[in-house]
Amino acid sequence: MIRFENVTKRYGQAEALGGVSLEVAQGELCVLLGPSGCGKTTLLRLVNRLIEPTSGRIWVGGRDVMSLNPVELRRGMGYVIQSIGLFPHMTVLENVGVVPKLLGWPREKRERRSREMLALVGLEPETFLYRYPRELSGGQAQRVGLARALAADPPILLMDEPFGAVDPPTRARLQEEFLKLQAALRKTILFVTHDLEEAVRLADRIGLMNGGRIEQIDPPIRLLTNPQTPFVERFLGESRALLVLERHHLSELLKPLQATSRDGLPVLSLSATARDALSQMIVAGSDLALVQNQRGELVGEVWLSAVLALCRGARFSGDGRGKEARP
Amino acid sequence: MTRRGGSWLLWALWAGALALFAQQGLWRAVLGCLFPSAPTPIFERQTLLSLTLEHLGLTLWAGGLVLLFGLPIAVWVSRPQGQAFKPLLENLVAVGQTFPPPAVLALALPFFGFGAQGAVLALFIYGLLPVVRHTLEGLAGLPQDVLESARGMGMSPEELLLRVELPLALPVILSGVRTSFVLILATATLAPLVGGGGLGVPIIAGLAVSNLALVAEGAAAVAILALLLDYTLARLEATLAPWS
Repeated sequence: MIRFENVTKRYGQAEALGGVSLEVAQGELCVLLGPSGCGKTTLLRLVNRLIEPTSGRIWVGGRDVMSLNPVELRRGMGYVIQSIGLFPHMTVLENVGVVPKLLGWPREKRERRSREMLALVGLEPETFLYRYPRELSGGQAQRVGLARALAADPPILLMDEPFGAVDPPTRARLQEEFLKLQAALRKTILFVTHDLEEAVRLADRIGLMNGGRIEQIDPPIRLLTNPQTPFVERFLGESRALLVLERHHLSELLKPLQATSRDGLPVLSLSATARDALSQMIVAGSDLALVQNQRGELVGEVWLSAVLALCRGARFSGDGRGKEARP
Repeated sequence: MTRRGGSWLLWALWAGALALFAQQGLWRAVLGCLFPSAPTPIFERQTLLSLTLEHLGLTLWAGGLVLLFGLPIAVWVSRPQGQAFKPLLENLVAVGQTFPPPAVLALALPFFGFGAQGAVLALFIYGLLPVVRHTLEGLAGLPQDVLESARGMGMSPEELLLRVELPLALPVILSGVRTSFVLILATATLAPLVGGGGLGVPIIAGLAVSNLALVAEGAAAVAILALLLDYTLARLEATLAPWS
């Protein structure tokens, strides 16, 4: 759906991208991860031609972006940035309807669509449609930003640190809802972040970038367990094993309920991760946790040994410090 | 809604002011009390109401020209195509305002002859600066992230200007318009120097014959109009930019 072919970008002498090739499949959520200045945002902005490559080619849906009208190109893909950039002089209704309006949709259709989109991102339309952006909290503004990007139903979404500016609990909730949304919508998404945890939680594949190049591109668990270069190993850090647990949900580890005494045992929800379970077991000092469903009924138990077995099965290479960092 | 109520109040204030200016007898009595030594307490050759309407006419003509030329020029030099002319324009309008209005009036005389045109021209030149400067400032000070997301969503440069940049810069632009109009209104009292009419007529006539009552008549009327015009434009600002 999106393909980079040996793309470089120079600003004068400075090289922002040094020959990047990458293909994002239809319906894939590809996360570009890396430290500031690694070129991940540059790569993203090449897709909708907010910047243009020095050399190399970028294909979107089988067409070279440089052969397309940039305005048309951009209307075909949603764009969300960290500061969201909602239009302060437009209500939520008008903000969400911007691209449909540019595309010439009639008024009623735009309004119906805005309502649908707000409901989709978890905002009550009647409450929010006629508010101005300054009347929204950070999390609400972020949801409106997402609704706006989705309004014209583009097949592609470009997201640049979309959850970077909200507080951690709100961010976790937005990420969770975003994953559910993506499971239903199956957009092709290029997602930029510098947050390793966010990348692991969301990505189908992570492209870890450094100095204008992709160091390694792999699904999260493979990246965490098999770092290919010292840089990747250092970037993942020494607690990468915990992030592997982040990708496993308790539903995978569930055993039938057998515990006789339930006093002092931690209770987690089915949607919690193995990492949450480990943390709760550490807090409670037990090697067993109970699991309940959304209605609050206990449905099973999870043993510490099962959690540890996940990591054993992961077969880590390297020691998490990177070769150059060794004494 | 409060906005509706506000515009109703505005019309009432204007109607009230014009009704007040129509009370020749009242003005004669009050000014006669304040200036007992004045031979004629009010200007006799023309009613205060007709002087006021003339004055507003001059102001609106000059102000209208300022909007007609000032806004598009300021917008144009804020675009990439016109960027090169930005310093030139900024300097020109600054010079326009430092030039004393009576001198502009005198210089315009040979071109336009005696009458209102010269006055309108001088007021137009004098009033350009606030509108142009505020428009440039307003367009330059827009939040970059908003412009970036507008471009990223596929707005063409024209759509960006009309749907995002101008609406967002509107409060700043309107405050320039407000300054400009009030400045023009006050300066229009010099128009009679070239035969332009307006509320400057009794003021200048009063100064010539040392009749302070006439000066006070014109000055009070101009002050009332200035307050009212300022308030009107402030209301307009609130109506056109309800988000801020």
